[in-house]
Amino acid sequence: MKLASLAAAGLSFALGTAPVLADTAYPTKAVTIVVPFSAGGTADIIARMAAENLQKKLGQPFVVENIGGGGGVSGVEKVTKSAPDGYTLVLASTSNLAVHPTLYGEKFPYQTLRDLKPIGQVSVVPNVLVINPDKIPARTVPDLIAYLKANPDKVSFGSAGTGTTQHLAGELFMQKTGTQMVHIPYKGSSAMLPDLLSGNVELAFDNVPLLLPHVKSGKLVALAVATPEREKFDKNLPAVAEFVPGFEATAWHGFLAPAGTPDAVTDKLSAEIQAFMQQPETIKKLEELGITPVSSTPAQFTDLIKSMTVQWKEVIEKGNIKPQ
Amino acid sequence: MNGKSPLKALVSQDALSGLMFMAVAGGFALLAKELSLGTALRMGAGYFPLALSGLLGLIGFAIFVRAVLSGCGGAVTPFAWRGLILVVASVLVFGFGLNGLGLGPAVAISALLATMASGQVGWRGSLVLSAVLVVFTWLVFILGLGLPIPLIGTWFS
Amino acid sequence: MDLFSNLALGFATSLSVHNLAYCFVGALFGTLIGVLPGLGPVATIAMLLPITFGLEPVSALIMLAGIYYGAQYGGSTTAILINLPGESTSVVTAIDGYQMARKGKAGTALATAALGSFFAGTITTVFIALFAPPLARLALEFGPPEYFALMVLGLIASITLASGSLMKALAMILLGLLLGLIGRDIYTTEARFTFGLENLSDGLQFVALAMGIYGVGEIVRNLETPEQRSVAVAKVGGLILTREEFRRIIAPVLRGTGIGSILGILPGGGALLSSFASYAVEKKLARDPGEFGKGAIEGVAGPESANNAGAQSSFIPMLTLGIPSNPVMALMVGALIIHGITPGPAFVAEKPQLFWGLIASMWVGNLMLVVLNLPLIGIWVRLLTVPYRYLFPAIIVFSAIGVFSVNNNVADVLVMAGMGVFGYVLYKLNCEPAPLLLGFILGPMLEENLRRSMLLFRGDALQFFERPLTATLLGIAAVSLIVVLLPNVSRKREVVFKE
Repeated sequence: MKLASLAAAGLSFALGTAPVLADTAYPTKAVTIVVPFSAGGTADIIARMAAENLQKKLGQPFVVENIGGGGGVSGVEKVTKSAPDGYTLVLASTSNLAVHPTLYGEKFPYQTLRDLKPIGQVSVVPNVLVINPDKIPARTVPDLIAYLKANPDKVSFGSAGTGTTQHLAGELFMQKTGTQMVHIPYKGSSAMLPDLLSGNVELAFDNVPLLLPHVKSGKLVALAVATPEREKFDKNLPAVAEFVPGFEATAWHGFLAPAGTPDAVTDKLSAEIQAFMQQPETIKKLEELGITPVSSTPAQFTDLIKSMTVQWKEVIEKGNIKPQ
Repeated sequence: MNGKSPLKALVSQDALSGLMFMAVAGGFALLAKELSLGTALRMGAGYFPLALSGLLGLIGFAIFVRAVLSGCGGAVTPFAWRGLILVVASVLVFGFGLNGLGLGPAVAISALLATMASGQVGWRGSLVLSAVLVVFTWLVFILGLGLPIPLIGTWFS
Repeated sequence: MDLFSNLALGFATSLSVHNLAYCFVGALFGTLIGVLPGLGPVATIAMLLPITFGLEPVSALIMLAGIYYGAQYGGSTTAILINLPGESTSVVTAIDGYQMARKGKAGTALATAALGSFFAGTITTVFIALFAPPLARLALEFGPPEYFALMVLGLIASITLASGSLMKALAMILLGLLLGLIGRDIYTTEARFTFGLENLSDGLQFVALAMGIYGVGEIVRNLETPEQRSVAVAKVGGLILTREEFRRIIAPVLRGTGIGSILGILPGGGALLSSFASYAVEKKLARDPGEFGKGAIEGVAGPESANNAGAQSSFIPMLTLGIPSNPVMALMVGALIIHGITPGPAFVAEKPQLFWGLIASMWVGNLMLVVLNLPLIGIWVRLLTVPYRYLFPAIIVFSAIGVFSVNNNVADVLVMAGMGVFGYVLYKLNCEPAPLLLGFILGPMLEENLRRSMLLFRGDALQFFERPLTATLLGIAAVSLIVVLLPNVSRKREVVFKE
């Protein structure tokens, strides 16, 4: 064990990422990474890849634990109540961190930045704006806006559920462009897809990996990505922000520890995770899955959570989405 | 069963199930009243449950009335209290204790409580069965399948 | 001919020695875990899934398919032997299968399930190979209004699940529908009937509900009459079907296969309905419907075939559109994505080896299952000769672990305890649980699709009748309702006349 952690320390030194880490003996036993969804999702994939890597580097087992239930709330809540010693981490998503605490009101069991300590963002899962080409004549974002203005409340947009980034993306789009569509929520993206393909709903913002095969086959037409800038998977596809300034509606994931975890521990983890996210193999594997790998510091991740919480809070309040 | 006494009819299986359905319907309706009702276009969260509980209440009432009027609804046999309490306790111990006790002690206590439920197993049999179950579940679920539960939980350290 | 070269490619892939080995190991593990009381396919696959992450994509999928069939068959085994359905589809198998077991015909019931499944699996494999792409298009014909109509039809069919009072069955369905609505409303995000508990905001978990009502409830009920049960199953009876029994199951198996392979294509819950639909059809067509619920072999043969056919054809929307039709399929899609494969329209063309390999391995998996399980039946049945006082504590422990392992969440175990008390009360009041479980499954889908349709119609309910498919389904539902209610009316009349 000692040899392994020594080797890990040496390696990180060589990478020049974290000079302080020799100070702490962490980890001396198995570390649990909670994924608040069932096995097989995007978060689970990233967690398992990262766990394998951390285990190699830090010489202790990193075990992924899928705690489903409550739309991710149960898993995150469990971590907020765990000992802040670095042996319980969570890989959470946008909705867990920046939407649920606002959307579900005062009785909600955690507040992200009060109860959790960000370690680092690891991914962006870009949402893309697609239309069913048989139902909507527009092929560019400006045309779409004109079409929606001429036909208020005629277009239905589908989403993975009220309060998901897919839904909030649509709301943000309507609020920023002054258009009106009818929101049709589903239980997850894959439940929505058949209705989008058959034209029962005509428009959606959703994850690239899900939609791309259907865009390639011509069943759907992608108009733009919802990230601030164009994405690597198709540089010809504009960003919505090019037509609607400041538009950003993506899903992302990041690692967090319970609030109060010592800096030495989170710094060490942050260094390792950043190094892992910069490895060419990691980048290649994630990009194959349609996920944009991100390497960020705890401070950057904290800022992201803060700014997104504010943005979605505004959208939720303006759109009157919150339950009474 | 054959008697047509009104009291017997009131506590028959059918009459009581009618009452139970009405009670459950009432409970759901009461809770649903706090939810948004919406309109037929935009149904709120309370619309569908309220309609269902109304229907359930009606059917429950019909079952109740029919049972009382006909006077034959099948008598309720006595509850197996010992079995019910011990079996449910066994599951509850497992649920509340799994994280704290760990898989081993949780399984052991659950199994002990459960064997007591039948009242037909001696203490030696109980202990042997619990031990066998602990070893088996440890082998299959922790060693074999890597379920994320410790064998011995945090309450012991 | 294309079909043959495709299937040849598939079999060449799936019959390679190491893939065959993965399929066998998968089916074996699936069966062994799935046969533990309380561990249904969802729990089994959730636990075994990570094992496949390290394999090559083809081998991983083939092993998963093996696990899936194994777990499903294991689930049917517990449903028949100890009345413990591990998933929605074996709720139906439990009704008559368990009664057969009580009459000493456990071996026959298990053999029927295995043979019916194998036959259905074989036919459906060919069916998928021939028609996968056009069938995928059919799936898209079903929008929210069509699903709503289908669910209504399913609810009406579910009345036939009960052999006792019709009114009570109706009430139990409604109760199930209401229980199914517990959780956060996906439209308004309001928490419904959760008493502020976030653990309930995804709703009650099916496995917890089923294990509570069937597992805990059934155990307490058996404790009322000590050890009478093991006497009933002591005479195990012949394991092989008699010629007469074989003749009786042919038609139900064929009908079940047909029903399952069509309904399985619909990603919005069709596969779930297939075993219920098959049971309803068999009961209606039977010369003596009174035998259903008391150990009718048709009540095992039809639904088990339908269930397996539906499971198989639900691969169609998953592979061609990337749409999982049930929790198990969702786990499979996850596994595919982990291996860098996104199922979708291009999947067949881009990865023919994988697609056809998987289809061929479905059949191989089914074959494996029969080969593996026919000899095992003797062992499973012998398990029943273990005195009940030793068996049931094990059932409780395994069920609790199984319920926990689906989400690794102890709250589900507590739900199971509560549902156990509820299940026992239902038994005391002579209310049959099967309709409640179907209502529970259909409730959320019924409401979701109704509300979604109304939004899409912008509030104009008449549009339900303007869509030909919806109107047809609703028409069939109306006719079925009359058919379901009629014999009861006439029976009541007989009673009246007798008096």
